[in-house]
Amino acid sequence: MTGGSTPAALLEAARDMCQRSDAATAGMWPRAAALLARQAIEGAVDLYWATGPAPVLADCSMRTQLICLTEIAGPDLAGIVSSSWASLSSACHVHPYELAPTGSELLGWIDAVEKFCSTAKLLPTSGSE
Amino acid sequence: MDDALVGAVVERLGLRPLKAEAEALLLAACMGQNELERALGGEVLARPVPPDNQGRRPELAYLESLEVGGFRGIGPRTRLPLSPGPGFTLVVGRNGSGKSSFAEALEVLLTGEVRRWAERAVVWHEGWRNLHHSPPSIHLTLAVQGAGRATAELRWADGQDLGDPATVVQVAGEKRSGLDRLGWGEAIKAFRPFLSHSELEALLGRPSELYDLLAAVLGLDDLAATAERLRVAVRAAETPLSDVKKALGPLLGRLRQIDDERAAACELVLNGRTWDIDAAERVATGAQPLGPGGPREELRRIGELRAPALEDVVLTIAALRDAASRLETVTGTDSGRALKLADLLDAALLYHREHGDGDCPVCGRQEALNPAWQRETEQAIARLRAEAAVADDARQSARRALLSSNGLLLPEPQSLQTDVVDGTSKARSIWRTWLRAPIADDAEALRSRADHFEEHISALADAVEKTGVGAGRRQVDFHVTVDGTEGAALSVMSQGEVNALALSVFLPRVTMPASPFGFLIIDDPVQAMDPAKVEGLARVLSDTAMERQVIVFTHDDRLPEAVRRLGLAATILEVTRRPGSVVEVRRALDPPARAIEDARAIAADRGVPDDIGRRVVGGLCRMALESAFAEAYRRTRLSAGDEHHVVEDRLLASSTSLTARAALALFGDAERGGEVLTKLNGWGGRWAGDTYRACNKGAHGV
Repeated sequence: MTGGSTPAALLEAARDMCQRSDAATAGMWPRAAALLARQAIEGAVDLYWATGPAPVLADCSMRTQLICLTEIAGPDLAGIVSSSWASLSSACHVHPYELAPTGSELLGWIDAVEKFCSTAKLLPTSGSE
Repeated sequence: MDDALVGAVVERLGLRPLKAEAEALLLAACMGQNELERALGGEVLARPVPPDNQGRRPELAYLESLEVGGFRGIGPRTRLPLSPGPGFTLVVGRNGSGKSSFAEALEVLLTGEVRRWAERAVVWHEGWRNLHHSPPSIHLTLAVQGAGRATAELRWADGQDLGDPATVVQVAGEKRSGLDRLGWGEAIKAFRPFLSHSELEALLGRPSELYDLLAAVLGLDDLAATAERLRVAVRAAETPLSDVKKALGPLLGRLRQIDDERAAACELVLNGRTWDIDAAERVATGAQPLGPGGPREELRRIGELRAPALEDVVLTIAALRDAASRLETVTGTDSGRALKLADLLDAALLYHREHGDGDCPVCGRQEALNPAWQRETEQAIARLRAEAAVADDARQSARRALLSSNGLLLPEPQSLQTDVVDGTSKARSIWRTWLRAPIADDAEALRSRADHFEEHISALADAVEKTGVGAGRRQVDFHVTVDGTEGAALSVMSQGEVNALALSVFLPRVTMPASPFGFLIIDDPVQAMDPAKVEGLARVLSDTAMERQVIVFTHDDRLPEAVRRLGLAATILEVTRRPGSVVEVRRALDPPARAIEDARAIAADRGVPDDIGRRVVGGLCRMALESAFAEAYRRTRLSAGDEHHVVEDRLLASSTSLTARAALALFGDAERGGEVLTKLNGWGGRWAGDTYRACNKGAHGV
């Protein structure tokens, strides 16, 4: 699952991919950033369970986790996570007729995940808002 | 006239032949005014042979590369690489990625403006500079057959308007010059090789504009000129005819007055629509109308209809009323009696002069003939003769007024018989009413005739003018049949169908042999088209691409997917945008190959931390497998005849699970996920199954 990087680090890497002009990642950064951001969400939700109510939920499917999240963390917070995760998930698959997401879409989802992390107090205290 | 057009006319004559004379005159008119005159003079001209080849073609120009900077969505200078020569290129990018900026840059370079903004408010024009990067510049490299490479560069300094750049054009081996060197001013207007989505809609929105666009290119002007030549010739030939017609009125009047059965018979044969010239020797023949009839001829005749001129009508009315009042003053007098009496008195005076005073020879009164009597009689004679003259005069002028007012009663025109244009039936009935003017020549009838004219002239003039305007309107009609029922195309078609229709009109115009543009650019034609129609579009564009360089901008994957699936040869370029208007263009391979290439790039990039790299590579590899399975499934099912949306629905349903997708591709059934590993191992050995499993896990971070 997470294996190494924290959600914060993943989000940082995803943001960096979107914003920094690098010839090596030219053109492919949308999908790469989407992959990282989605893994960041999954890691963040796992952390949420681990530090709180029901650690065992981390083993269930994402769909189950998101439903429980709505119940436990409230609809507002869960809403942010659900929609971002759904969009990022879609970006991580090659769907018929769909192109990769744009930079602004990705940054929007990354921001949403960060908001979740800070609201649920998952980020390290130094440097979070 | 263009050789090809003459060839088309000859071909048409082959299908619908005319009389030999008419054909000869028509072809002579096609070739020119001189030839027509010679043919009218009786000379026999050689019949033109339709050309075998397409005619002379100008040198074609192709696009080699386009570099744009500081313009619209493109910040730092970015290059769009194209291969000069016929071929199909697709430029794909999301909305706002900068792909349309390339198309607009090309349009600005060649036409000086972007038509999409031309009719909008000023604020659209003002935003053409990129916000993040300056100064704006557009650089185009062309390959012109026969001339070599040419470059055109536009630069703007701060504060300069869009229409005001510094332009430098350089053709290989020549000195620098301006945009005129390319010589495309007229050609751009006639064969405009750009088409954006909004233009597609507008193409069919204003019929008179569409007519103008097509007429110039289809050579309708040449055809119109030929028709005009024929018309002028017809008019010239008809002048003797109309002169004769004018003489006919009075002639008929005189015939009526002659009390002779031959005159009556003559009047009969001359008074109808056709004149029996054998029976009436003194009438000349009318010329046969030249040229083919048909709806255009009818429309033209309707357009040329004129109601009687108002001044003529007013004069006629006044003359009629005048004649009527003079007739009234002389009613009761009998000019015949007065004349006879005057003659009698003249004879009496003569007798008196010869034989002197004496008794009246008629009644015997004593001493009746004396000088006093002589004076009275002379006065009486003068008075009687004057009376007679006045009465005669009044009657003559009444008859004259009646006959000349007949000139206003033109027979109902044939062109109004058919309902070709709105309002012809109304015009017909008004004309018929007009013709029912009273005919007699006594004072009352004359008055009521004058009243009749006065009453109806304005209605007649209006009706004729309306039909004339209707006939002169320029428009293009598309007729369709839907399930066997006819209708007008534009009102029954959906938006996607209208776009397809506009494209089908646009493509031939651009690819005409006379066009110097070897390239054509279409911006976003796929909007509102469903996948089946997109497939058709891909085929049409691919066919066009055999002779021209076709560059299509599109914002989703439908067209590229169709191109890939149909196996059409095409180059696909992807445009993505980073913050700061940094636009990247790269060649797209098919999705599996692309995903693997990207994975390789990440893996080889030392700057990426290991953990990050592993996650991304894992995800990309899974995407590669996903899309490979999807393509395999799509290919099989679509060629088996399944419908697009059914296939796509199934693929969508399996998109969350790689196993389901693999089962769909391998077995056609998403439920048989359990057999996938076995199948893969059996096909390639254990490494296949292991790779599959690794990719499946890897997307979630190993």
